[in-house]
Amino acid sequence: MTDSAIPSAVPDRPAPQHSAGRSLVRTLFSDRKALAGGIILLLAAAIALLAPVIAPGDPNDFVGRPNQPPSAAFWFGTTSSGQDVLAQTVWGSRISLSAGLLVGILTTALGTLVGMIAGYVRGRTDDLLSLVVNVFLIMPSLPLLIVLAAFLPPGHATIVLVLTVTGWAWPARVLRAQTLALREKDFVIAAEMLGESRLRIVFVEILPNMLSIVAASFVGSVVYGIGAQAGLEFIGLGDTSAVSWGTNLYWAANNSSLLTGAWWTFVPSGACIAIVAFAFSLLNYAIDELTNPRLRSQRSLRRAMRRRRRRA
Amino acid sequence: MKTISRHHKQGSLNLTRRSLLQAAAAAGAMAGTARFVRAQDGSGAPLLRIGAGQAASWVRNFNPLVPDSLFPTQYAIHEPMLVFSTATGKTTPWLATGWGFSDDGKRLSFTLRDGVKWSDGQPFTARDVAFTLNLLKKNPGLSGSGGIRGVMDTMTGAAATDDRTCTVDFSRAFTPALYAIGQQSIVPEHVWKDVADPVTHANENPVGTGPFTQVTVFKPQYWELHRNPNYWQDGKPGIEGLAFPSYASNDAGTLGLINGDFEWMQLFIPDVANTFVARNPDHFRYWYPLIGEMVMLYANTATKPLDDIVLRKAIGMGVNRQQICTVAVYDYTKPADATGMSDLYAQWKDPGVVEAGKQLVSHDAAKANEMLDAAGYARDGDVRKAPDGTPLEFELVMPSGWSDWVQGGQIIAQNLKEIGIRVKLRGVEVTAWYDATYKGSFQLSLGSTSINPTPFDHFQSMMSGKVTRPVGEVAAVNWHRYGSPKIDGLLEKFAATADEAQQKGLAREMQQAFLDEWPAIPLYPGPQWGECSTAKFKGFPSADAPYALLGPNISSESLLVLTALTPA
Amino acid sequence: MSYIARRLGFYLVAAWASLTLNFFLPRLMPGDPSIAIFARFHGQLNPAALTAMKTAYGLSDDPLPIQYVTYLAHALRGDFGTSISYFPAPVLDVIGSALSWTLLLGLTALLLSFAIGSLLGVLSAWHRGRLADAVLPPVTMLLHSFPYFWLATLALYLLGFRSGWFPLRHGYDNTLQPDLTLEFLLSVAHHLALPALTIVAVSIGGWLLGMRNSMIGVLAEDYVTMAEAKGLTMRRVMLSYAARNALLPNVTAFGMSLGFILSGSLLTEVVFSYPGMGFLLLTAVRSSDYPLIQGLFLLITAAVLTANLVVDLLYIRLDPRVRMQ
Repeated sequence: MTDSAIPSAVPDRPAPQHSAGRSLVRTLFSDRKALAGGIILLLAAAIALLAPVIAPGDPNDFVGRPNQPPSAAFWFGTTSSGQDVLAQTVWGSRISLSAGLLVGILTTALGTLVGMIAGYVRGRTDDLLSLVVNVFLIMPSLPLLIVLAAFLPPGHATIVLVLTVTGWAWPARVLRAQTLALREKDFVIAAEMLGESRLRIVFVEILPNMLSIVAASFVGSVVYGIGAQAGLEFIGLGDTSAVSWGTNLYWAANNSSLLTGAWWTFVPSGACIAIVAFAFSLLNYAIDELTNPRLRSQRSLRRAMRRRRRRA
Repeated sequence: MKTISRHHKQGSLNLTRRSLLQAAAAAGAMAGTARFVRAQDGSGAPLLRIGAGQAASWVRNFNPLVPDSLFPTQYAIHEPMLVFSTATGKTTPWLATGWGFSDDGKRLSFTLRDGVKWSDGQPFTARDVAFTLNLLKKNPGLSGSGGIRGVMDTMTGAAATDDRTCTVDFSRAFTPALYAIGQQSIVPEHVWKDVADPVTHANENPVGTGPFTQVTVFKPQYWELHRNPNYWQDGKPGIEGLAFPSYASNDAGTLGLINGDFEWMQLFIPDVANTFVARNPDHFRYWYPLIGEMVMLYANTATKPLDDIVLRKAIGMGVNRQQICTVAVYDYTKPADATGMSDLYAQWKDPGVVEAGKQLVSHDAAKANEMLDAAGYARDGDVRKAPDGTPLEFELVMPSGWSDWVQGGQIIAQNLKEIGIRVKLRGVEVTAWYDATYKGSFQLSLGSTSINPTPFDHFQSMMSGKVTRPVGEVAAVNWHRYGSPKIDGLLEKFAATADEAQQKGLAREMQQAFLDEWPAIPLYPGPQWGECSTAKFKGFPSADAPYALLGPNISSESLLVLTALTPA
Repeated sequence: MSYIARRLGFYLVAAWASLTLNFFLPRLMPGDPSIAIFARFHGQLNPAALTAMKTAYGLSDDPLPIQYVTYLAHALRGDFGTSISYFPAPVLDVIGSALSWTLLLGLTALLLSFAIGSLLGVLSAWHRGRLADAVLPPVTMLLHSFPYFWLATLALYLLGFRSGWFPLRHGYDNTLQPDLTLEFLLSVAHHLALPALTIVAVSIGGWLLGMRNSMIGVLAEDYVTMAEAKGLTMRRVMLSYAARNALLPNVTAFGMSLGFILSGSLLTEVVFSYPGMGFLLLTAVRSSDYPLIQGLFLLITAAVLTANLVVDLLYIRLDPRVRMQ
């Protein structure tokens, strides 16, 4: 997981803590797929942040004649109410991406915390925490999502809360398993014998070595957040007055956009979700290869070898 | 709102492994096959396929006295004594040939038609009418048809004086009861007297006097209703039967209609001329007359500062109704006039009130700003403040699934920015919306008015303090909680007379009171949706032949359509 | 043995937790079920009638602990009460028919995507670095990235409406009776095709990647090299040695997915008007039909628990390492 990018016999050799983060990033982005994914995501983030610049004004404003196909005046055409589809798509990225990000952060944080504590402390605490995790895992998320989203006050907070509640158990389980494995390693036992506090061991010794798995589950949670939020909004359970990719699709479907031939109201938001999710998948793909070097292709192996020789 | 449909337990699939494999093997060959044969009965006569509302699946309930029955249990299976057409304003005698009030207005007598039989061959008599009304009175859990539940408070009892005469007694003069009682679906005494609990009785094999009573096929996704062999109108109905395929969403319904899978439907279709008619200009028809409810912007008049009439008037002038009509309702409707009544009450409208109230329903932000300035609502930046200092910020609550209302709400919010009022939109689930409005825990909401043969109920629900309840308690009517003693007086006089000229005069006074007191803000008359295909059947209502509403409504006028249709 | 005992113990606790959550869920939600009753009567209901209706609908005013005990007793008996929006049909009746359709759709889609995805994953891993591996994972991942309902709507519109190849709604043709005739089964298959295929298209990616990664790990093992050295055919090594072992983690995932069949196909059912439980849940939620919501929720949870239990027990047979704990 450090400069030694060649596959070793023991794939998960622990890394010196200080360079774990940096070398993770470096190795990650040496892979073409991850690079492509990263660039797409940066672009998406830029568009979201620069929305007021790219499409000034309120995206809900009625600016043109309804149902106009893409033209020089409106690059993505207008909706059936006469709103600018480009503006709605650009502004929609803010809510969709931020919700996904929030869900990713919250579920990963919660999952990591619970997973690591359960995995490290073991015993009764582990039994109890594992029980809670398993109960949440087994809860059917989509029905729970629908019921909660329908009855709590509609809005982002609700959607994020609901998605976090249904999504945190999976990272918890994965990270608990990983913690259990790492716990037995020499360096942890050494740290314990040295009398380091448990908190320090967990966060300073174990966590850095699990970074790639944490990263992978974070990426997965963000994709889950974006997709599930869009799904809930599509069936009308989100805040239909807000502008997000999911509600754009809700309105397009409600106004029978395909039947009226107004495909331009239906396609952009869906394509955006797909592109962003795909970019995240590319990242995940690369992270997978990082955790399991056997997965790496010949080409990236050769590149890694060259780099090592150069550094040596 | 669509009919809620029911489900009946059918045998679930029992698939053996071999048949599964067979099916799987053949599935590959299926890809290019054409559509299957459409709905037909044994004799080959086509059935009228009706889109009767969204349903996950149908539940077999033909009890006309509860809200859960399938369309057209009320009216097409169980007929009423008279039929009222909102399109013509005319009343057609049906099971009753005549009726009248006593001089004091406390007794209503019906003369029933001769020669009518139930679908099981038994004769129809006045005793069935009396039985039905008394059954409703005895069981408060039965909703009945239309507004009859409200009438039951005043009705003391019904009796059959002979085979052809039925009298209904009231505790006080209440002439609007004529239409509620007249349009009540009548059930057979000889069948229902043995029913243990009419509220939970599903009435799976209905016995009625209507043109269609025989349920031949019933599956969760599809059921058929065939003609009554003993129907009292000779030669009618002209068609063999009705078919009801279910569909899951408005979009799926529209898709089916355009595809030619339905002949009679009631859908809100965006850009209907291009989306629907253009696909088959020879046969696809639609008609959206403005004779339904009025969509209003209601303010909770039990709260400050919305109890101030000046504020309500200013809001009314700040709203751009034409924009709402064009954007939210695709120009199917036009801005409302100041009477707050749709074309349903065209014969009752007072042209004087329409003229006098023109400005109140126009879009005049300048005038609105002037009014608010003069009334002491000073501007503080973007938002005005009431004289007591509270900013004019209101929450507009509405059901998030009703897209035309949501879009209307968005436009209203934008419009009111110009006059210094900030409106925040809150879309909620339908039940939560009922909760907020019925209990009075809202500030602004959209809502609609009632549809009745006379405007009595319209004004009662709009302005009578007697039918509402304080904030916190459930008030299903007049939830904007406006009480007008003047209206109460007029309503009492209206209920006491059966003379139409007198009623019309009182109605004009009520409209003036509405204009003077401005309890709610009229927006636009809601179109009555209706689409049909004349490929297989003819005789549908249209703008050229407006004898009844086009769409399959749960209303007595659907009987007029069903008995008028013939094969093309 | 103790493994089984521990797992059973866990499932009992999980079942109780689900039952309890299920009980509190509607009661924690804001809003009054009696409002739903008012709305259906269009307001024409006096307070006396409301009390009568509440009893009929099964809404009681007893103190919470008593309600809870009653609820548990009824649930264990299988009595889920009467549905409000499908009044007076019992909840179990309403769920009954929808259940078989959801199972049909879910099982078909799951089996197809698992089989095809795993097979393609094996191929992809076996042909590392060549065309198959370069094309298959990215393409399936791209399909997986599309929001499902978006793809489904487009599929319905293009393949159903525009071209007329597939039916637009329902589980089978209206003119047919449910029966074991070839005509009926073909109709079922025809109506099942588009919903199932859209689900398969979106889910293949996950199975493919999982199988591929697992397979790559296994291919590096000694026993595979040994099998190759022994001179066994490529196909034999690939399938009987490598794939078999690589399949294990995917089987666990398959088991968990089995449990989630009942809850997963909501969007499919909405788009294709397919008569299933997901859509039933959505309409139940929209009409605040608390008994129906509870019944559906409970059934789905029970299914997930059962599937997990079965997979756990099966796993003991499949993975000898677990037996030795």
